[in-house]
Amino acid sequence: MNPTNKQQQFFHWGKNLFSQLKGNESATLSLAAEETEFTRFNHSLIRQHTWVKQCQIFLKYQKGQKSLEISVQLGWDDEQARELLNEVLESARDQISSIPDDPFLAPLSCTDQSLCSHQGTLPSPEIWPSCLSDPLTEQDLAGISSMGPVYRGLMNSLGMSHWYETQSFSFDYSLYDGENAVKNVYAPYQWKQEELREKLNLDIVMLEKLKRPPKKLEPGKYRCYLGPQAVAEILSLLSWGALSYAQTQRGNSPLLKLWKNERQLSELFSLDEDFSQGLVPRFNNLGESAPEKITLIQNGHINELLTSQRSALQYDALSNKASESEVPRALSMRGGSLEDKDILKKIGTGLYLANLHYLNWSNVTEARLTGMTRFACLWVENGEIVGPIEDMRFDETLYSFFGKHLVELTSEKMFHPNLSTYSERSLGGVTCPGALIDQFTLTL
Amino acid sequence: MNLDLNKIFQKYSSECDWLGLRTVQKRSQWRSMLDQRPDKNNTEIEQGLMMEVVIDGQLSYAATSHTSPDGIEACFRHARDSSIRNKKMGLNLFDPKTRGSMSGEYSSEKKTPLSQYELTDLIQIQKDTSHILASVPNALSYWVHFWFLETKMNYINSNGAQITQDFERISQTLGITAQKGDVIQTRSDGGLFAHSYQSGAEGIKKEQSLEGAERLGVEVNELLDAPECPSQNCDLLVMPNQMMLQIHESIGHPLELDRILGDERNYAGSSFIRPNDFGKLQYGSDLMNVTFDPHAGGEFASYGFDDTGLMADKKYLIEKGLLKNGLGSGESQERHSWGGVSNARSASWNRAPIDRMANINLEPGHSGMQEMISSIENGILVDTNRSWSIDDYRNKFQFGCEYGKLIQDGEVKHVVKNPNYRGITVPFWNSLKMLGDRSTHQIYGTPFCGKGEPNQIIDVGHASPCALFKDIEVFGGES
Repeated sequence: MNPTNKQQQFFHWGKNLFSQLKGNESATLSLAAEETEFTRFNHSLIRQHTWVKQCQIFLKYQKGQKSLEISVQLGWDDEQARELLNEVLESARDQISSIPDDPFLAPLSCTDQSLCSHQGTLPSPEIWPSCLSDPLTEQDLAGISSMGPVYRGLMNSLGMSHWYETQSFSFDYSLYDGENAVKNVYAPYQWKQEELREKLNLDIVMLEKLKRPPKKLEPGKYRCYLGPQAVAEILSLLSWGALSYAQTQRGNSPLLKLWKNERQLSELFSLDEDFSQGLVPRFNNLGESAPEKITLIQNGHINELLTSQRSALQYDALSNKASESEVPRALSMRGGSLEDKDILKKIGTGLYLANLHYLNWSNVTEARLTGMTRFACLWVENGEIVGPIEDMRFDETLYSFFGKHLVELTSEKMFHPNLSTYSERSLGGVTCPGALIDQFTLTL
Repeated sequence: MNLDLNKIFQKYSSECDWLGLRTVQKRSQWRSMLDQRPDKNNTEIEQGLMMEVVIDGQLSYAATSHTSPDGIEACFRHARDSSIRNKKMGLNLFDPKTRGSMSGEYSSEKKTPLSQYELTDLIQIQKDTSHILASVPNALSYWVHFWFLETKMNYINSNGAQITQDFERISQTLGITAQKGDVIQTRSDGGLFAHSYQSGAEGIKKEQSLEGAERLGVEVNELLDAPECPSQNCDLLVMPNQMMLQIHESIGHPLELDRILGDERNYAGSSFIRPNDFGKLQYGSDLMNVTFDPHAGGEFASYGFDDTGLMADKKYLIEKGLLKNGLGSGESQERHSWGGVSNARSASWNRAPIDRMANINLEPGHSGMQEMISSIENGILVDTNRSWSIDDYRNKFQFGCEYGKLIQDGEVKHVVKNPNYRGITVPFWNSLKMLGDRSTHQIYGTPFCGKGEPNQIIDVGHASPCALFKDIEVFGGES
């Protein structure tokens, strides 16, 4: 079945279901489906290979000021889908009278329709993963490749409809030498064997540099360069409520003091929600399409926060069509003027941290976070790489390292795809530069 | 989804060298109330088939929610073709010994099935509890959430295994955020969904919820007026709801054999444990006895068989502080010669089983709570996790808690806010100097243990007494 048929089939299920609604009933039907080849590697060989085909339908059912959601996994079979969706609708009707009224329930709207398709080039089963054998001779690689189509659909009983599909490949890997490792991701729109080989060769060269004896650091403050992957880890942590309008109202946002203008970040720090690359659907779980670009932080000050229709109703704010969870979907941090070729020179003596690991807020109200260095983290002296460091813990507030101690940002930005696969493949990702910081606190 | 696994097995087993079939049906309900209004009332039904197909020693997995005959046929073809194609690059040859061969059943202990519970009664508990939280002075936001999960799993394979397991699980959490001036503090009932158990509807306890709300209202206001936790090296008295996290991160994960074997290096991480550490490494003080216990009645991750059909039994991982066994499935044990347990588990029908924790418990010691407090010259009591971070080898950790108390000269002096501590795993556990008796022992769990590529979230259980550690780096929430 080709993708167009899947879209038509989903819309057919929705129309059939909506035709059964009565009186003050309304509904939104959404879909998340995929067909994925997961290949997991250890020691450059295949540890586990799993093919998954799944389709999940979500019914958001509203009656007056009451709502609930029921989701079910099914096959692309019209008769089975009709039977299951009828059962789901009846179950929703059975439950709804027990649910209290929700004064901030967003009413359905019918302003949007969209159709978006991104069809990347995937390697054939004859080429992938066997093409890895040659470049990885005598290398120790661990990681996972994921490839295949992903579908997202949404329609409501007022006539709104959206369809998004993409066919993509990602290879998330690390190359090891003992406990030293280089981490990278290859996730092109058009898969090219030669491009991957070149990337792996560069990683192998980098791994050679890690074979020097590791430097043991003492806790203290260090000049430091955070590579784009490390910055992306920090930005991902901001998804935990930091940019949510509702969380500022509930006192749970780590950026509450920034929002109140009691703290500020560096004027070099600007952050947007930017859908222009089309790597994630612009429509949210209500089917509202977000503006192509929302400026969240402008030169160190909050411009606006992610605000859902629900928050708009509850707190008398203006919705920017964020999802109900007010989680960023297409974060993009603006770059600066630092050229890649000058990074080591600008570090002088200090740290080059390519990756960070296991970040968490250690003090939410002060936007303080802790985490670990991981993978290719290096000690630099007088602009020259000396060797790897032993892993260290940091504990530092955002207002310091992205505030008064942020020196420069790289002009080059990198896109870091969201490779999370908890229950399903994620879409979108984070785009960001690297950051030079003159004081970064290591604690253990 | 009503699939006849034996019929599918008969159709496909002759087309491969070895076949395993697993169906999973889950019905979960998320019932949440936020600031006295309904937040989420979601029901999720997961259902699908996982096939394990071996050709010429190469195992591949294929899973589908498309369980029509055509869907199952396509699923089998994918697994079979992958096994043939990947043979030259396979890390290990499949050994049928790594899979079970027994018939058996398991069912969660329960009196009243969850399906018989009235939704209106649950909503009333949420309303009554929210009403108490709403009246707490300085309340800013508060929540009362329940999560229910009913799971039915069937498994058969070419070894002759025929396994059926039924699970009923309840998770509940309530909490409050309050503000006084510039100070904002949050207090929850043991942490996010820390009250997670296998149980029928009898596990939904109204009185516990109401009493919890009353207590949290008092404690969050204590925190608003409390001084910062002092920064110092001192004794650390850890309550069971924080011990859960301490056990999980610094014992459970580093003992997983797939981490030691390198499978997780690209994502969750590796382990500081080396193969020759088993039987030799003094992991902690001789007070420390840690078990893998899949039969702890009511604990969240109890089961009869793992997802490869192997029967699960209690086993000591650490005995008198000495490392004895790892957390590795039959497959991991086959890849190396270390001792393990039956812990190959998957998040659902669409993921392959990997080494998971299940119930990992610190067995009680012999000290009473008052005896431990009396022994402390200068120390901090920490209660309820709120922040957690540890390195990829599971050495350097930093944990933060919601609620602390300063203890001096054998007496509890007052509440402190923002208590944190950090340390390194083996020295930390060797600093264990007193361990609470059964009167201090509590059982907790979490539905949110993440690991694996592709990613999997799974349930784990942890039981522990209070524990006293000496000379730990403790600090407050200074900016």
